[in-house]
Amino acid sequence: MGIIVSSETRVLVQGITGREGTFWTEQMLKSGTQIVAGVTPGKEGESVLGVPVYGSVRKAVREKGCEASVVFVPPAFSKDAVFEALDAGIKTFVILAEHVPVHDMLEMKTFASEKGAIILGPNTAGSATIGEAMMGFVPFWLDYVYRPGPIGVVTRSGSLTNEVSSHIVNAGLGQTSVIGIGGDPVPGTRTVDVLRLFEKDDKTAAVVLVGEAGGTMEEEAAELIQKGGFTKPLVAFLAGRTAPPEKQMGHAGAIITGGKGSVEGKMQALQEAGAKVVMKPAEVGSILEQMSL
Amino acid sequence: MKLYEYQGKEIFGNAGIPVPRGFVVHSPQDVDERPEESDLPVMLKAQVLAGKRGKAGLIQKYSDWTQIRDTVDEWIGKEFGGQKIQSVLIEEPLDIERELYVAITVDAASACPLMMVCGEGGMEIEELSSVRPEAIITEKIHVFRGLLPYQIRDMVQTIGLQGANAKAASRLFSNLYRIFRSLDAELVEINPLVVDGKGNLWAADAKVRIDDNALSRHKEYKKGREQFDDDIEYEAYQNGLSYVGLGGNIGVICTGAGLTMTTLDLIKLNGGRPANFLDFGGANYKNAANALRTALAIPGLKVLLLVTFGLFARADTIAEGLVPAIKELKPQVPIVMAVRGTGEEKAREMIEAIGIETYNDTEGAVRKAVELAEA
Repeated sequence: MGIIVSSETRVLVQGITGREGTFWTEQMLKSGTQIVAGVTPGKEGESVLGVPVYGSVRKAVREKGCEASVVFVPPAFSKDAVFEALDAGIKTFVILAEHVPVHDMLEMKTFASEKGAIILGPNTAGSATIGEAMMGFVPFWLDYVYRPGPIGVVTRSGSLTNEVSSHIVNAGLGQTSVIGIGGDPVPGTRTVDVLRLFEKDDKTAAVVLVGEAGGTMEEEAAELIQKGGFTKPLVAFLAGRTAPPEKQMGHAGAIITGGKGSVEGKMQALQEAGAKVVMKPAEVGSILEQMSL
Repeated sequence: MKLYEYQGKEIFGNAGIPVPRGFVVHSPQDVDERPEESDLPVMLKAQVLAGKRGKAGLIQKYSDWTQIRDTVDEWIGKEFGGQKIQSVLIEEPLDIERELYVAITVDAASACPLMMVCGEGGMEIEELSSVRPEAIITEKIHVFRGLLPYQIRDMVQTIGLQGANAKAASRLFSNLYRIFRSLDAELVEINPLVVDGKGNLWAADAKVRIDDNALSRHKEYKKGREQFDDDIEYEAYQNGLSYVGLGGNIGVICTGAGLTMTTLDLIKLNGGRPANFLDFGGANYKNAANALRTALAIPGLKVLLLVTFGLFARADTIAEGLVPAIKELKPQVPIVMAVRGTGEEKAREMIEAIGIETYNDTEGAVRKAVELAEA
């Protein structure tokens, strides 16, 4: 069944009438996702690819029973869109936008946790349960990259996830769910939250962690393993081994400051916890092959 | 975006945080035209965005206007931390009885504002946190409830302030938090926060960093050349590209920060030297031509390596931007490409039609680029 999104999930698209919103709604529908409604203020009554458009989330939830939302709203308006949907009872969010102000994110995450909701992103490619459903822009149709299989993937980046996933498929395996938590310094969901979900998912036999320089999420993952909160095999590939300190490497979250957040430190923590840490994306495939999953 | 000390102090002053009386000069002439009430001695503080200026001798005390004029003349235009000094803050010296530290930043793991105070100031906080972490008191702030009076009382008491001092510090902490929130700051820091002989509190320094992603709602601040290490970095920023110079000879263009960092790591692992980080992923993937222009401007380039594995960034759209740009710019260095993702067959066809070899795997492309660079 995978985690976070399944073929049963009733999904709303906020900002469905925009160009990207419409393009990716088509892809999500093709992946098997139940998109039951869209919202664009002022466009109530229209329809996009047969999906009815509402002017407010409240109304969409009342009439279509949406549970999860893919947010295609520009960064400056993401907070209002998410607040609206939280108030309407939505429990799962994927915020795709890059450049969401960090103070907005503090508010969104705090409000979400008070409502018992989870947010993936911002600045994420989203979440896919391979062969079932997808929220975001995971190119599930590239069959040399994504196939149903026993490996869970948790990742901070987009293109690199394709790269690493292609080596999982190359090793004759495939993925249960691919969960993008995004490249921002304050992600709605942290690596350890996803590891806990994979731990409980019977279909997931092992997890591949795609991390990078900056922040403390990989160290937290190592701590979770040490404490026995995650017991499945974990293979980690971390980008930014050679990243210079005090320089933001694209992602706002990928910055080594005050000597903290270096990939070396993260690799060591994960290794000490018993995870297999590889130096190249291709080695993710070869090490999974050896595991006979 | 980092603000200069004088900008930070202006914000502090307007919010009711006491700052030393002073003025900013941009030239020796400005010293001649100083405000009439300027007394001696004064502190001269070069306005730079990089740290450790005190150790570099860029904070000095003077009692003679001719000397002050000469020093300003010497400092303006001088290089420090990759930047030319453009202004000097001249202000009254403080009678320092005690130095404290206070800052507010974002606690990423707990997703809340975090206040840090310390009874000893002056030292770099990174240094202090590694030498004596127990000396720093941290207080998490609920983003909706705000900084509460009891939290302020606890902090003020723990650093040993009493009476009028405690009252002044309470007011200051609460004003600082208001600045942090209203300005979308990533960091506000006063180091040192000075207690003078009369028991008054003064922000002797001001460090303010605003979240770049929130600059659209703070239009009075705009990132200029001084926020970047070099001209190429600044130009890339203006074109919506993320660029960092790394000094090697292999130019790198990628989509996605993670894949870019991985490509740089693989270049080093294979014995090569990357010239740069350049990501044109996300919403900027149609920016391929600008990315190419930026990379080709790097001096000493031996080869250009382009790696994409698009999701949002479609391979065919990238090729559509890139192929005409290559034809127009006629790069003098060889180009190696690994272009994958949505529309990759069409992309490969277009690229190979102009005589550039494409690779299916990142590592293969990296090895080829290193080989060409070292040849």
